[in-house]
Amino acid sequence: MSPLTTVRNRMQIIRALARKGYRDAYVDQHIKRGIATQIRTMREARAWTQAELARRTESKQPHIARLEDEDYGQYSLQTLKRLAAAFDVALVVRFVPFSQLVNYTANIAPADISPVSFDEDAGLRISDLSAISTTNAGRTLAASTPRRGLSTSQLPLALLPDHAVIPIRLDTDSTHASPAVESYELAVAGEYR
Amino acid sequence: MLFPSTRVARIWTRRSRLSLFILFIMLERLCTVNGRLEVVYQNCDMVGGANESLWTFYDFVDANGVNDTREWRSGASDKVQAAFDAKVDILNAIPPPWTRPLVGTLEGYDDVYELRFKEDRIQWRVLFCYGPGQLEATFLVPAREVNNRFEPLSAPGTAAERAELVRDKDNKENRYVAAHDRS
Repeated sequence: MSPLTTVRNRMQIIRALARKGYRDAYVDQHIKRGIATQIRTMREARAWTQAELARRTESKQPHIARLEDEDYGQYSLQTLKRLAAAFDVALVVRFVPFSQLVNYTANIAPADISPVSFDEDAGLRISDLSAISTTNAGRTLAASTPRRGLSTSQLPLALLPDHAVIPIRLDTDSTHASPAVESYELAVAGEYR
Repeated sequence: MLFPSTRVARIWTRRSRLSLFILFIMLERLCTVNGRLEVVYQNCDMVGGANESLWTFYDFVDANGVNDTREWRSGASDKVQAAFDAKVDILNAIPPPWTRPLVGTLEGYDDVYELRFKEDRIQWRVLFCYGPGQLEATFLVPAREVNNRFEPLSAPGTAAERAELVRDKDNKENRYVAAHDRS
């Protein structure tokens, strides 16, 4: 999908959300259809049968089949937490403004539908920070920037546990060899560890 | 930053939507030429970061300009509209080939598929085909299933004819499709 199509898509969603009945239904539909699709795609990505997932969540295969039915939509928080633990992924349940929902739904990517498990989560590897390159004296993110929601200033905080706030200074001396990367590593090594 | 989000937010008003749209077209062309498209969009909060959705969706439009999918959707209830839109949003992130239960196949029609969902106690079936290009899909005929039969009964046949037009290699101008319209 071209960026222009994404913009058009986003505009159309925003226009439709103006109706209260539609936006309530849109939230509901994205929960039930999105969760069902996620459960199925994550299970298939791990090459598990429904029976295998049932075993890992201490439930029965027919229950898993129901959870994977897009039209079902009767999820308990307890069930979702159990599934998240089985897949070893995080579960985020929170109230957000509609703008955040649109940010997500207007441009859902495959990685959003089938998130990787903790062990495969490249975003959690401290060593991978060296792969983050910067341009314009460390002020503009390069193509390796994780998608959506992370700006230059937010990135270090996103990697810190439990919302800890530790000041990290990005070196802006462009004459220094790989200045931003080095300073970033130093900041992480010296301030964070 | 080439396109600060605060500036975008300031001009994001009803009156300036059209001009913003034109601006994006110009930016897209300009930045593609300079090879900097990714950077622009990564720095534009309004767009939501690098584009990673997979598919582009179209509606079939007949020779008289009639778009059945758009007309059906705009006349449907909020719940049905939301269900259809959510299905499309999610499909956008599913690599090919789409399989059951996301979509269904139609016996006897190789190039026509059905997007299936239940809402308002009705089994909705929006018939579609892949194309005209790669990672593109075109909605052909909206229908519903009652007692294992389509309503309208002619839906599969009509969809097959339309799929042929959409996928016709001589149809280089894509005369029979328009960008999928959910307004």
